[in-house]
Amino acid sequence: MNDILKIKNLSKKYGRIQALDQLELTIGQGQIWGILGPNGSGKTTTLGIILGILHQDSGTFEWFEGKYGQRFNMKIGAILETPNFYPYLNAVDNLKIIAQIKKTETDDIHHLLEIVDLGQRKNSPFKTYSLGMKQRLAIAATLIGDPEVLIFDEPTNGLDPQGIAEVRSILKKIADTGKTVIMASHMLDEVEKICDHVAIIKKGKLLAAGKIGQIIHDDKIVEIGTEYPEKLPDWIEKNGWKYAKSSGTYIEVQIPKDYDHALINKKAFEDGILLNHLIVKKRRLEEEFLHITKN
Amino acid sequence: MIQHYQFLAKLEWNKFSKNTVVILLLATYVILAPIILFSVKNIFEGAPPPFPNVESFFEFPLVWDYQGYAASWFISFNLGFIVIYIFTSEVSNKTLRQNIITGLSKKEFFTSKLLTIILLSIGATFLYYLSSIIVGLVHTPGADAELIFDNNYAGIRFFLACMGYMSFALFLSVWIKRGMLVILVFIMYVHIMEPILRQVQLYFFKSRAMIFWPMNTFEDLFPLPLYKLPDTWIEEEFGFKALQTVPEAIGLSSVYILIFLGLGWYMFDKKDV
Repeated sequence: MNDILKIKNLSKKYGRIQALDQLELTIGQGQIWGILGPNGSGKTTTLGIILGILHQDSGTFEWFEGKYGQRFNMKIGAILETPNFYPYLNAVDNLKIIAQIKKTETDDIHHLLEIVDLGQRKNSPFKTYSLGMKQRLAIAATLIGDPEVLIFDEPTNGLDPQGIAEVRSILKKIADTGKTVIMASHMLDEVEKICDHVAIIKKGKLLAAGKIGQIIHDDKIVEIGTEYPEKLPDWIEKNGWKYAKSSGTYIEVQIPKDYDHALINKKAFEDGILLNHLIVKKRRLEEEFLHITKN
Repeated sequence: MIQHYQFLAKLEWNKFSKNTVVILLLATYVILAPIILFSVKNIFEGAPPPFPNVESFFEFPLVWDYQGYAASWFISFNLGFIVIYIFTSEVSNKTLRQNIITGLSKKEFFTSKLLTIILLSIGATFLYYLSSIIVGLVHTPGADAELIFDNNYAGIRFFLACMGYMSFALFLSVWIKRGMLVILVFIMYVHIMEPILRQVQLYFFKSRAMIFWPMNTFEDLFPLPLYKLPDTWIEEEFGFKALQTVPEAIGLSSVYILIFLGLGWYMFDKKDV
C-alpha cells in the first residue's frame, strides 16, 4: 500500500504553549482516519501544518511520497474549522472559484450540489445559508476535482441533530468510495461510525494510533453480580478473564468476544456460582479514549 | 507565463466582480470624480490674485496637473480602499486560508493582488489620460499636438501615483489584516500623521529632507497647481524648494513602491495565514 502522508517529529509552539510535540503518523491509501482529541489538543494545528497554512517549528511531513512536490494541495480536498466562502457569492460561483484554483472542469458542480442536497438553494448567496447548509457546501467543495485525499475538521461542529445526521451520512458515503479520508473530531461516536483508523492526540502528543479494532479491543465487557461477590475474583482468574472494574454491587469483566449470555451463565453454574445479574456491555471507543487520555 | 497572469486576473475578477463594495468604490471613482473635478470652477470662481484664473486649470497644459491632483484624492480613497477591501476581506472571510488550502500558493495569492493593483492603475491612468485630453480640448481653443502633450510625463506620474497609494494600502493590509483598522491607519497616516511628522522634522532640522516622505512623494507627483506659488515663498524663507522636481518624484515614488511591495510580500510570506 502506498503511503499517502508521512508525518515525522512535527512540533509547533504558540508562545509558551506546546501545540504539537513530536507528532508521528503515517497514513496509507484508502484509509479513513479519525484524529481524535479534546478541544485544543492540536488537531487543527496538525491539519493546518500538513495543509501548508501554518509553519511548523520542527519536523517534516510528506504527501503522496513527494509525487506532487509543493503542489500537493491540488490533490487534496479540505475544510479547516469553519466553511470559508465568499459570503456575497452563491454556491455555484463559490464552487467555480474552487474549481478554478484546482484547475479543473466546472461541469460537475451542479451534480455535487445535488449530492449535498443544495440544488434548490444553489443560487442564493452563501451568507443566507444555515450552518448546516454551509457545512454541506464545504463538503461539496472538497469533492471538486475528484481529489485523492479528503480532510474534514470537526465537520458536524455546531450542527443540530438533523444536520449532524445529514453530514454524517454524506461522510459515510464518501468514505465508502475508497478515498483516503482524514477527519479531526472530538466526537468519539462520529469517529467510531465513520473511520477505520484512529489517532488519539492530547496536548499535542500522539497517545495512540492504529486500527480502531486494535485501539478498542474485541473483548466483551460483561457486568455480573451474585449473592456472594467475594467468590468472583477467584472465578474470573480461574477462567483466565480480566477483571475490568467494580461498579458498585457488580463487577465488570473482560471476556473473549465468542462468549454469549448462555455460555457465561452455564460456566458460572458449573463452577457453583449463581449469577443474579448479567449484562453484556459493548466496549466503546469512549471508554478507551478516556482511559488513554487519563494518563 | 502570460496565461498564468490571465488565470490570476480572472480569479480576482470572479471573486470581486459581483461584490457591492468594490462596484460602488469603482463606480464613485468613475462617476463622482469628474463631477467634483468640475465643482472647483464654482469654488474658485472670481477668486482674487494670487489665485490663478480657474479656467486655466481646464486648459492645456495645466489640465494635466490639475486633473492629476484632483484624481489623486480619489486614488487614495477609492482605489486605496478597494485594495484594502480585496485583501482584508479575504482574511476576515478566511477565504485567503481556504484559497491556500485549495491549492493556490501564497505567491500566487499575493501576485493576484499585485496584478489587480497594476490593472487598476492602468485603467485609472487610461481614464485620466482620456479625460484630460477631452477636458483640455474643450477648454483650450486652438490647441495643437505640441501643447496637448506638453505634460511632463503625466501618464507615468499618474500610474506611479496609483501604484504608490495602492502599494501602501496593500502593505498596511498585510501588516494589520483587519479592514476597518487598516482604513483608519491608512487615512490617519496619509492625511494626518505624515504631515505632522514632517512638521516635527522641519521644526528640529530645517532641511529639504522633509519633503521626501513617502506620501508626500506620491503627492508631489501632482502638486496642486496653486502650490507653485507658495513654493517660491518657501524657498525664500527656508532656502529650499518645498516641492519635488518631476524626476525626483518619479524616481523616489518607484523606490517607495518597491519597498512597500517588497515589505508586504516579506511579511505575507513569513506569517501563518
